[in-house]
Amino acid sequence: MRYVKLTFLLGVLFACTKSEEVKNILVFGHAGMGLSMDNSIYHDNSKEAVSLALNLPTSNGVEVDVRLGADGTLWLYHDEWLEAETNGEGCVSDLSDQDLSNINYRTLKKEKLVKLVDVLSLLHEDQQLFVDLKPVNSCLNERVDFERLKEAFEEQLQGHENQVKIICSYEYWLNELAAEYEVLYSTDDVEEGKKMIQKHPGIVGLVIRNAVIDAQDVTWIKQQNQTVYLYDIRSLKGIRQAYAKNPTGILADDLRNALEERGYAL
Amino acid sequence: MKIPSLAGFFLRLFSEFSAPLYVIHRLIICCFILCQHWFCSAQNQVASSVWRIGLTQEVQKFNPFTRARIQVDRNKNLFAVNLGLSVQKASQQIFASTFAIDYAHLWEIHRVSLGPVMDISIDSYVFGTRFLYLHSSVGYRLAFGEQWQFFQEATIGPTMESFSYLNQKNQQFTWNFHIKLGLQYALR
Repeated sequence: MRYVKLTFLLGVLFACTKSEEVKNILVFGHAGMGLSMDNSIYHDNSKEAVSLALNLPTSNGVEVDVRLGADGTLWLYHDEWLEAETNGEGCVSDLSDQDLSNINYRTLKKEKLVKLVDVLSLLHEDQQLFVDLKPVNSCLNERVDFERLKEAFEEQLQGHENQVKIICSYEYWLNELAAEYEVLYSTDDVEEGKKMIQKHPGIVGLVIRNAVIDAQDVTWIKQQNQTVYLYDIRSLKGIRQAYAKNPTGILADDLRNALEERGYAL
Repeated sequence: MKIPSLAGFFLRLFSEFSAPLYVIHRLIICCFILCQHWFCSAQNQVASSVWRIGLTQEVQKFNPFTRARIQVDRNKNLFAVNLGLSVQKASQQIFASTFAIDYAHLWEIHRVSLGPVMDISIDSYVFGTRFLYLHSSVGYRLAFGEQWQFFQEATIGPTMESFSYLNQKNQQFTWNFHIKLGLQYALR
């Protein structure tokens, strides 16, 4: 009986101890407080959502989706078409700063579209910002001008270069961007991602959907001295599955639960 | 010490018209108090009370909660006090406690009771700093049975989330839904 009690006590003790590996995983808010999440309170990629995500205890930063406006300013917006989520029409790439600043999301709180420079100032010293580049202008069905995009980054990162990582899904921009910034390749195909790591040694890692990668592949990528960040993690079960793979970090849609699951002590 | 008048009290309650969710939050609290039978003494009737104890499981926008409750039925009015915690948060080694009170007025048809319900609850936990959630909501309750009673409740209303971290106060309001399932036993 004494051994049964002891075993039970040890079981409880170990069940209540979070592994050191999990505590080292970085946690970022996906598009602020998550994409289309009930408990996010604010619309994704809004200043309010980014601010809340950065202010949560132990948050390592946020990921935001960025598009280039017609005046060469970088704006936060996820979808291709403005009418999908806002009271505006058309594409971010075709509208001036004046037009974009008057657009708000179709939510109760009517959050406004926000420039990248306006969220950079919200970062705390030890936090990082992942900028997910949206390279296509869907209205014209063409890629945005890469030279203008580079100029925009040079002008608008305003000394925050060390806190910014760029996520890019367009292979032909990788090397040039990697010469200036820390760049991650975004893909849903593990094998393609592995090839990209070997083909473009300048990049610092991969951003990949949680469901398509297993722990073995995560380990292999880390063995190549590359980082790996998982995204599309919406439920507590998904958060636990992602942590079990021991990635460098996760872009969590349920940021509160992801931080709490990792634990407070860092 | 100056004792505030009732008019002054209500004036202060509704002084912040710039924040509609905040006002609705307070309105529901006022309704909750006004609808209590002890507040309207003229409506008091002599009737026997039934006490019930039970368990509820609630799902809402933020954390799911399991609560123990004690309820008193008097005429068609039901008043209950709930105390509980979040099992999900406990699995994350966080103790999230909750306190809630609810009032319902149910009409019985055969052994099924249906009517409006008002809920006020507060829950809190510490993760780096203290998180505080205040909820108020209105909706319906459906109850079946006498000795053993099963009930289902769905309400909607504003929630306030607040926490302070790194000398910065964060406070946000949002609409929230609350869906509850409960089982109660009548103490006769």
